[in-house]
Amino acid sequence: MRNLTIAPVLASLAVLTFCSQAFAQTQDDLFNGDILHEIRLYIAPEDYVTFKETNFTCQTQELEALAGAVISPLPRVICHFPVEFHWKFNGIDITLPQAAIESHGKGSRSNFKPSFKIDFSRYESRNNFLGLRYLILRADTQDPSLMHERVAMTFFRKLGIPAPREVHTRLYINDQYAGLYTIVEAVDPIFTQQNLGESSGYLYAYEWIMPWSFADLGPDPSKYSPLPFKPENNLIYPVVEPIIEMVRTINQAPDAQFSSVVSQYIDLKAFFKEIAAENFVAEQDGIIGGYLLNNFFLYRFGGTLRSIFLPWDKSNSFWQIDWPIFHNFSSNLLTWRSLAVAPDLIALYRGALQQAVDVAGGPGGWLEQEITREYQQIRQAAYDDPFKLGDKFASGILRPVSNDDFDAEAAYLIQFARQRSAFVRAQLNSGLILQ
Amino acid sequence: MRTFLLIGLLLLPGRLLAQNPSDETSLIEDDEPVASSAETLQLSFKNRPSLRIGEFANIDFKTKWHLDFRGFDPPKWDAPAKVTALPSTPPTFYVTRARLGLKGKVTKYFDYEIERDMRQTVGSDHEWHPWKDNYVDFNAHRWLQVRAGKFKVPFGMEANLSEDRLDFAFKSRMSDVLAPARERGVMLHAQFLRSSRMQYQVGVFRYDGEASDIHGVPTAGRTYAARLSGEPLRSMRRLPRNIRHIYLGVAVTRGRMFDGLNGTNGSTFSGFTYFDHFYVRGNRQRFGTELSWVEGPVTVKGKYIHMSEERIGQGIRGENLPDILSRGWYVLGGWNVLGKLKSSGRPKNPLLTGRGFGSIEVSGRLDVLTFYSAPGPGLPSRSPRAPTILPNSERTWTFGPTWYLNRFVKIQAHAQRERLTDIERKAVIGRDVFWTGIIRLQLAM
Repeated sequence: MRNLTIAPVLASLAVLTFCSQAFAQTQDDLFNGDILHEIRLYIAPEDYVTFKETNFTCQTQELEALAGAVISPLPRVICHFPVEFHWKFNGIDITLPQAAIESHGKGSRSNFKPSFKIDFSRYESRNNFLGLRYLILRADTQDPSLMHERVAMTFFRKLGIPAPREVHTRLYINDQYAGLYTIVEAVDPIFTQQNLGESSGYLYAYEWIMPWSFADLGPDPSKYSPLPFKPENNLIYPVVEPIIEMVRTINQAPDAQFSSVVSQYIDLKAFFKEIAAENFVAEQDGIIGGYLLNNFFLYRFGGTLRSIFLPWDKSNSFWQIDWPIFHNFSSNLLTWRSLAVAPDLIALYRGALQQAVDVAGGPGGWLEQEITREYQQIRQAAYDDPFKLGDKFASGILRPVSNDDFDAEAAYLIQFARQRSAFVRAQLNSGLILQ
Repeated sequence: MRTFLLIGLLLLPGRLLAQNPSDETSLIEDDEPVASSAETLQLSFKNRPSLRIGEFANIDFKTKWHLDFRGFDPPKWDAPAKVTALPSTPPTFYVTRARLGLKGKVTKYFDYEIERDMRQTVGSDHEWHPWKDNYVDFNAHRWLQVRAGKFKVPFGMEANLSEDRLDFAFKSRMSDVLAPARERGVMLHAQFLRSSRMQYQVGVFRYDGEASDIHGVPTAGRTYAARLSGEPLRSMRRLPRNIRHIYLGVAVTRGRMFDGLNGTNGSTFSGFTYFDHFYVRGNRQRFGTELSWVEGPVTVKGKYIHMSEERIGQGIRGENLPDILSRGWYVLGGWNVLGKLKSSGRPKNPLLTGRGFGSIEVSGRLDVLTFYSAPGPGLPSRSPRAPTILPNSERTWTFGPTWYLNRFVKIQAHAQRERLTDIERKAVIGRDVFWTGIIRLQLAM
């Protein structure tokens, strides 16, 4: 019994010891965009083999399990693996000896260049790395420039949208260069605490399982959660009824009171700012993207019915320079009804778009500077990366990306930055254009 | 409505047939005598449906049903046979046993048993191993019997007792986790030193037992088991009489584990994991001792199990890690407060089939299960490749009355309180106490 008493104390000391080197560093250091970072993972070689074997099965299995399927004929699939995590910063090796990795991504999932979710707290639930419980190491396998995600999220944050912080890193696995990756801040209760000032609410990750645009799915909570609204906290009591009410209200709110009634459930100002940012960066796979609702988290504030949408996965942004500002508005009930009956909300949207235009600027503006800065920072690491993949036209097939492809896509991004503001401004000035 | 209909249908034969339930040899010996007949084929319903073919063979029909009404706090569970699902709301009514089988003899040399669980058929949950005891026993000599087929690995008093004879609706957590349960194999066994009722069992089994399976997949290969049990103090005449019939047992197993994430794991009765599987390579060994003492209305039982699992080359960088150690023990006390029970666990004055009301026993059990490792380099962690494993333990109190109505029917109302030491593991964050309540209607024949 004495062992049991002493062990948690020793574990805490372990955490303190291993993290003591990190005390001098902060999250701001980890997400310092002025430098190219270096992360090293050490994993048992047999685990890495298993990781690749189960990379795709894990995703399927998780979705099936969330849907309540009984996995009877399949043997157990291992999806989490212990790793030693090292972050090299200013010549210091900051280590967490017992972290976990799991595979990450949907359409971007690849065994050639896998993405990882680093879970610092899986084995020590009070454990963290610089106050973070998770990090995503994105392989950016759909984006030949390797910059869509970071540039878009940095732009979102500049607009005041609570978006994940992102930087680039060289990743080594068992001392072998595994390629250029993006470190992505996880959206979890720590994120909501830091960005929204609270974590007592309900956080859901939206899992795309079918095209859906807020159509009323009825009163059955199981139609909404755990799929497509997968609870990220409060797993035992994932109160779903406010989501059902939110969707019903979007469908049934009287035209005259649409804004006021829906605003009981959704922070509409934040929502239209997010939509404006997504449409400015021509996001093809977002809330009103080509696949209907996708790539967001929903956070309902504690003790209220009101939720906010948080952005996720912007790898398909910068789709085309002349992406219309009302693209896909008709495919989503919330934006469609806003367009039809709530000019106040459309005014909010237009105002947010104008802000995006102003922040991005034209030639030589902020957006071009950011893209140029990132390109120069990552260029050599990207050239050295033999595992670069891309899917520029979202065909669903990941193809190898050459250094020339990388340079060409970076050049396109510069072109986008120079021309996009002018296009959006012209559309704003031309009045309502519904596509 | 379906539930009550099912219960009614199952109760009916118990009322009408007035026969003896049994699946243990000792219980068959407790059967009421069947009048012999000159007929070659004799169909009897005296103790249970039974067909005798002269002196050549007999076929007994057996069945066993557990109909549970259950409640959990927190009111969620990780349902069996679901992988990584979110906790769900468990059903209140649950069929945990629905077994049908045959048991009998062929000449004086062979005993046999066939048994299958039909839970999936009656719509309960998934069953990884629906075939239960299926074996043939060859009586070669008074001191040598050979059993082949699928049966319980000879390890653990509670694990080797028929489920309809258990003291509680819940097996002890340590038995559930550390004892191997059934497996296919061959076993030599017999009684010897009859004055001391000693019994030996030595066997070799294809795998390590179904209890250590993960989703129906074995975690260890060929396993050897041996057990010695009996009442060795009987011959010591100088000891007080009520001490001499203490039952004692000792057992060991040893088997080579399959490489991988195959270490033992701990979970609450509601399925929440509090000690995850660890990577292992090498041997799994168990050592167990057991004790049972019954004196008048009082029963005392105890058991201890120690298990070690090797982790050769299982560090992140391929280094050897200290063994995983699992240790469990329980102490059980029971008091027969109303009515009397026979040694076979049947009421002397049964309800419905006799003129009494059966018998009521009140019992309590403390059961402790601990997982840890031998000391190794580094500080304790929960990682499956941690050199030093951060321990966790579960302390479980189980208590409640059992009403033995007659040979066929038993009603148990038991509560179980499980308390975890390390609640930071991913059971239910912030909860260290888990309650389960069961009202069980057992029908066995």
